[in-house]
Amino acid sequence: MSESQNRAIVETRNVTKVFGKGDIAVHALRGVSLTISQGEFTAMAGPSGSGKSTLLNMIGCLDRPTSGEVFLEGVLTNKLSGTKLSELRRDRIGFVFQSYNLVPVMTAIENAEYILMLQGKSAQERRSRVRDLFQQIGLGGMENRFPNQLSGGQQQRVAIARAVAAEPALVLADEPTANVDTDTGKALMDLMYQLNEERGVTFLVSTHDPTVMERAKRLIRLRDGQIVNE
Amino acid sequence: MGQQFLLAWRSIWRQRRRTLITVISIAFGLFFVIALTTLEEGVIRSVINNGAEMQAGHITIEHEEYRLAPSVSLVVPQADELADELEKLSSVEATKILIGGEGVARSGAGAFGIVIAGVEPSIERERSPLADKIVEGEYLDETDAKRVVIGSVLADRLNLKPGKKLVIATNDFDGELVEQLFRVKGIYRTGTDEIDGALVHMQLASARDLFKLPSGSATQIGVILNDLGRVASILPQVEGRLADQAALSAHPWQTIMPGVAGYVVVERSGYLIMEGFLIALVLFTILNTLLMSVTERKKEFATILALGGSKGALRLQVFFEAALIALLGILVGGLAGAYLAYYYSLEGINLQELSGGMDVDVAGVALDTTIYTLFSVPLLLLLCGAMFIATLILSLVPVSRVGNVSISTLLR
Repeated sequence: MSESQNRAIVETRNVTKVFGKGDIAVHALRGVSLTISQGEFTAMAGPSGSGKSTLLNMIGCLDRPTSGEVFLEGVLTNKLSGTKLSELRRDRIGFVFQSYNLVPVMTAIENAEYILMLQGKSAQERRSRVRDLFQQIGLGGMENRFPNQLSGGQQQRVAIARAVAAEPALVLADEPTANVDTDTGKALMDLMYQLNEERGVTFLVSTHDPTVMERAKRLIRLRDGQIVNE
Repeated sequence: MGQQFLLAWRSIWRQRRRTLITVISIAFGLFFVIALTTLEEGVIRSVINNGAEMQAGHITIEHEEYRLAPSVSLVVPQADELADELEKLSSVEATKILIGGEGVARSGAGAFGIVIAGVEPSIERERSPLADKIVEGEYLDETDAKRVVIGSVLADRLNLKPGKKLVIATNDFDGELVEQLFRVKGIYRTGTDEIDGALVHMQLASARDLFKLPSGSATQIGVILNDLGRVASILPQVEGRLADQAALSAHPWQTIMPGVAGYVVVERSGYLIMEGFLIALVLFTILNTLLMSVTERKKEFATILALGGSKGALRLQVFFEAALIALLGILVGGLAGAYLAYYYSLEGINLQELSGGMDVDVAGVALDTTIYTLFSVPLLLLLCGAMFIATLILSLVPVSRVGNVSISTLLR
């Protein structure tokens, strides 16, 4: 294993998250400590309410823990301002959502280019990077289609392209195969493994899908807000 | 900014029907506001101009005591020369020299109090609506010494026809009682009994002779402007010309025709209140649409924020959406309203047809039976601009709500 592959991309230390107060308080995370290194493909499984999405929110800088620490590439994110967190998400994290969440008024290629545009990359550079990516992931010829002109699987491919186009340190995928049929789900997983292998993209995928769990290089199981098995 | 504009343009057409309904609402509201405003302003302008042309102009010069106690003894000396000088001012279209007084008209059928107006027939023929309302005989011309034009009500009361004689008695410049014989040349009918039963027009020279006024003098000089809106700016210039004649003063039409001025205030207030309600209704529709649009797209906005997009960019996009919808509505409504205003500024609306043949008068001024809308590009731009700005101000409500989305609910 190379030195770069051992580099910690994510580190959580005793992270807790409590929603509500008093008698109605819900302990979504109960002291989760976890390290994900560069180049890993990690699946996170667990029943509904186990804390998968909450943990993804903490790691993805979309929410703050009640206690504990979250590091992204060695940077403690807990105390960062909203603007800094936004910049961190833009530059270092890619997201793949369960229901794709493409911007409906952007074409497929505009969606994929969106983060590069936010980063201030030139139109030429954006187009060049994303066109290559589209060819690689089987979306050639669909660049100018709007999301409602694409199938669910195609939309999720665009979402994956959007997530990896800016070469983030980490891609967080929230049940990416949940809304597509089995074959499409398998194809999407093939694509993510391919990107992990060929481009070294680090993936953290939450899932209920046994096939995803079987193929993951690393599997983390959560229950009642705690890691119960790895 | 270009990206936000493009996304805004695409966004408004995602909900095509809703956008079209909003655009039509704005267009209809603006169309109605333009129609109402140009019609009302057309009526107001017509009333003021009719009054000014029939009476003593948009600006009136008279003896400084004439307003308090009108009398033929209070005259403007060398009125002809002063009128010639005033005509040289910019925006002055014409002047009219008037001799006004009161008297009694008598015939074999009886005697009635009258208002005497010594006028320049050529000016009246050209300017005064009264000269167009002759129903029997003809209006005066410059050679008609000792001839009068009377109203139809007075003609009925005194049983007079064109060619018949009447005696007019009055007090002259020195306060002496005088009377002279006149012959009726024409009978007019404005539809206003107060005017038709009292106002008698005679040639200026005949009036000077009747009242025994000094040569060249008159009781008033009326200044008619080519633009009603320039009264305030021309008045000081007119007053400047009177600087060496301390006994004279100049008054705007509001002072000379207080009834008309009051009517204008009431009329404007009325239609502005009505338009206010209408605009509020339209703005409520727009607000509702914009809020709905923002509420429905919370997930879209949350995604953009999660990916690192800024709230400012989202706000700008929603602001552009409001501006684009407003512009489309204003374009449609503005063009339709402008066409309507332009068409009826040329063709006019026949009030007699609408009022079932009744004559219309406002504050003692007989209104033209055909009303023309006021087609004014600055007025149209003002109305369109006001609607646009109101929409933009309103859009700040949904714009401010764009950032109130929770990005932590995206991952479930």
